[in-house]
Amino acid sequence: MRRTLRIGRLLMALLLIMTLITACGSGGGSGNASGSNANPAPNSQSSSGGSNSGSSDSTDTAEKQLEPYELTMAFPIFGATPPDMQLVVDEINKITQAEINTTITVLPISIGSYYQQMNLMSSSGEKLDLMFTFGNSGLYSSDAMSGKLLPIDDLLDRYGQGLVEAVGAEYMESARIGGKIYGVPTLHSFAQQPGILMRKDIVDKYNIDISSIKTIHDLDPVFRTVKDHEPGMVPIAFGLSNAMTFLRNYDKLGDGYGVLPGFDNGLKIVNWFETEEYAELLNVMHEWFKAGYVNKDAATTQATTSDLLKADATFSYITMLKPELKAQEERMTGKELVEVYFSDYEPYATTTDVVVGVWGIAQQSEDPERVMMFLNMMYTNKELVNLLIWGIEGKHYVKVSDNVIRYPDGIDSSTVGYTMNSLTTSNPFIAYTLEGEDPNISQTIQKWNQAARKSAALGFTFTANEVQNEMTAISNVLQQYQRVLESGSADPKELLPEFNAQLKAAGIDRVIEQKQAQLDAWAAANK
Amino acid sequence: MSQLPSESAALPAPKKRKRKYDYRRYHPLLIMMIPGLIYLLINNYLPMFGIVIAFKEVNFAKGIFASDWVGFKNFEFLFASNNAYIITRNTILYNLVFLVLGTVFSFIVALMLNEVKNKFLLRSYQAIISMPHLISWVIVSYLVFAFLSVDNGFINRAILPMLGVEEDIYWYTEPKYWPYILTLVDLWKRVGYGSIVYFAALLGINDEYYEAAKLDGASRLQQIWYITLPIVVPVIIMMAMLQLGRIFYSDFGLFYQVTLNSGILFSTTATIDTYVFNGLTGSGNLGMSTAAGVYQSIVGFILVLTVNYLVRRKDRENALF
Repeated sequence: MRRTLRIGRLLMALLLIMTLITACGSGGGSGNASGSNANPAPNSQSSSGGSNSGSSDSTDTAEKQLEPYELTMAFPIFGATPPDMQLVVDEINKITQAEINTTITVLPISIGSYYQQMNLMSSSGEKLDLMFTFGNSGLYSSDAMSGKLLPIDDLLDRYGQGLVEAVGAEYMESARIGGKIYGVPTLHSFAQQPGILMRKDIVDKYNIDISSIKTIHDLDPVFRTVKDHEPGMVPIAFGLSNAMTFLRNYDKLGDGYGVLPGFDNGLKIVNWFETEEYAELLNVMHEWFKAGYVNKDAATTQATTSDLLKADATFSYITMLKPELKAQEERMTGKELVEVYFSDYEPYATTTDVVVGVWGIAQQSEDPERVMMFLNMMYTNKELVNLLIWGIEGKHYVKVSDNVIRYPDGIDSSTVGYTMNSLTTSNPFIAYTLEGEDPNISQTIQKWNQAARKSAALGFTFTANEVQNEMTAISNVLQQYQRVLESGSADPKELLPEFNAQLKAAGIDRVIEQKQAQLDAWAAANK
Repeated sequence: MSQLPSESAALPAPKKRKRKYDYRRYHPLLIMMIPGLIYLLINNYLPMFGIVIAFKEVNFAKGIFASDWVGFKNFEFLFASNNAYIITRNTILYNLVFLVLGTVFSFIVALMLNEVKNKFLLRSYQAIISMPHLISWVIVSYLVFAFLSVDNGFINRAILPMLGVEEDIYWYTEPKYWPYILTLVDLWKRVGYGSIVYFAALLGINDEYYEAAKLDGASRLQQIWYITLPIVVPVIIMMAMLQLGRIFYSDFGLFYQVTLNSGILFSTTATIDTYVFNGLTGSGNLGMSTAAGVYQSIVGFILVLTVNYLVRRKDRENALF
């Protein structure tokens, strides 16, 4: 008796809950509480409908008179939002209102939650027109494939000519995924060459002959000198990234699961982790680790290499060099540095290096054409770009000469009221340069980009939709073995075969197969 | 079983007197319930629609509900690799160990607190032992790091030399130590706070029982065994059951932060949550991460039902429902 009562009560409770759920389910579409969950379907339909009608309208009227439009742009920030952000946006609005009758609203979002926020905004259909996304770890391609970004080929043809010219038509092709372009890469050096950055004071102190350094094998005597004479300092730091992250003479084709050796190899993809070179490099790293050249916590530290150098914990680090990098790293570490390019590697441009940061048009944008007009200005309008990068003249910088500026008296890079991370700046080539830095850096970079050798697979982007399970398993295997191996912390003799066996079990062969098929198709389409 | 007379008497009594509830009498209470119910509904029930994401390939242009159905494809990655066994084993075994040891130690601490008669000391002890619960895992991870760091760690620099061990131990690359480290850290953080519930239950025991037992010549241990334990068992079972429901969830902070996510330790430290996190941070695949969550919830739900069923068969009064 008692038992049946209990069960009865439980059933009643369940029934009640079910009714509540269904009641809310049917009414949820209009309810406020469920907005984030139930709304996207109707909302996105209406917004795409809106953009259709909007586009037909504005095509007709584009040359005559533009309707006023409010444009929302989202981008990640690294640290606190600059206090004068709104002042700068107000200035930007003066330009955009005059040119394309548009007012801009910015949404600076902290990098830690940026990706989640973008997911939320995309799924809830919240107002968003222009968004920034990252080229690395396949984020740009997954944003494109999951419909977060609009394809912009037509818009580029109509309103983005200046932009295409600024980026370079050939490099623009790098942003093509499955036949369509979904975003515009930010401008920077498109090619990189591995090299080492060393502290100048210590190089001078021990008269280290940097001309003798050609490859990583020439570093041994340098490291020994530093190790013997500088207690408390390791000769080379491995942080979140380590030397082998950068010592590449192959196109890693995005994720690095299946690479193109020598940037060509007849477009035949190989498994980098199984190559002789990989094993040899691992041995070098392990030798360094055993000799005490590397910080002991290399496999686990959460510090970046530049942090370690800034903290006087290391003498050097290996990285991907490009013309503007030394000045950037000097600013970051506050130390004078010496750079040496490894001459057994060549500067190459790959899709991964070109598509680092991307500005794309969000799918829920109500007027993609207007967004493209603004995007075009972001790459071509000198006044606008200077506002975006440096802020307001007289307040955040003062002019020294025509193209050179400095911070106003009493203000430096850490106290200025407005900054923009170089990752998200669209076109720094037409902006001012800071006093004390190479004023011709833009031309240098542009020359470097034009002269760079191009990977045979430049423009190819792998889409991993078909092999998601394998990708997840592989990324866990890499997490488990890659860092401990590549930092030299473990003996590769035992661990490398285990690593490769695990990769096989995780299905790296299937990923490579899939990638090869996509690459072949891409090559056929681009002949 | 009538050790908790106030509660057990209150429940059946109105039923006998009147079959229907006197709604007018409970009016204020029912109204007071409304905000809580609404909160529960919005916070705990509405998000359940999100379960459909686990069976979809999310396309933002189409919207979540209009995206294509993919069946169980999103779940495959959990079982696709040979890591599935390791992460399941780690998750369940760690949680079982935490559950058993945590309960035992919390209870012992509660018993000890119960013996402290000085009010001031009691308050201080309670504050001190529940302090770790308030410290975030990120900070705990640095405290642990201060002990285990290879170069500057307290253990490598101070304790090992005292024991005559010369060579440094590379704690963060040796999987074999971690089951002990993690258990220790978890207990340190959880026991003090967990003991509060048991301590409250102990406070509720009428002193008359003990006095009667003393008259009969029962020793301190006998009093604990024959009086305290039977009275507190329902509370223990309830707490254990609540934890069992989460046996398929690992404490992400513990397994991710405290281990510094060191890859080489994965054989003893990877759990379902860290596996999913490590696998999907790059791709940001909504469907697959939702699938993992759904899988964990369903297994947890089944576990709670099963355990409750078993408890009820043995001793109906102690079952949760």
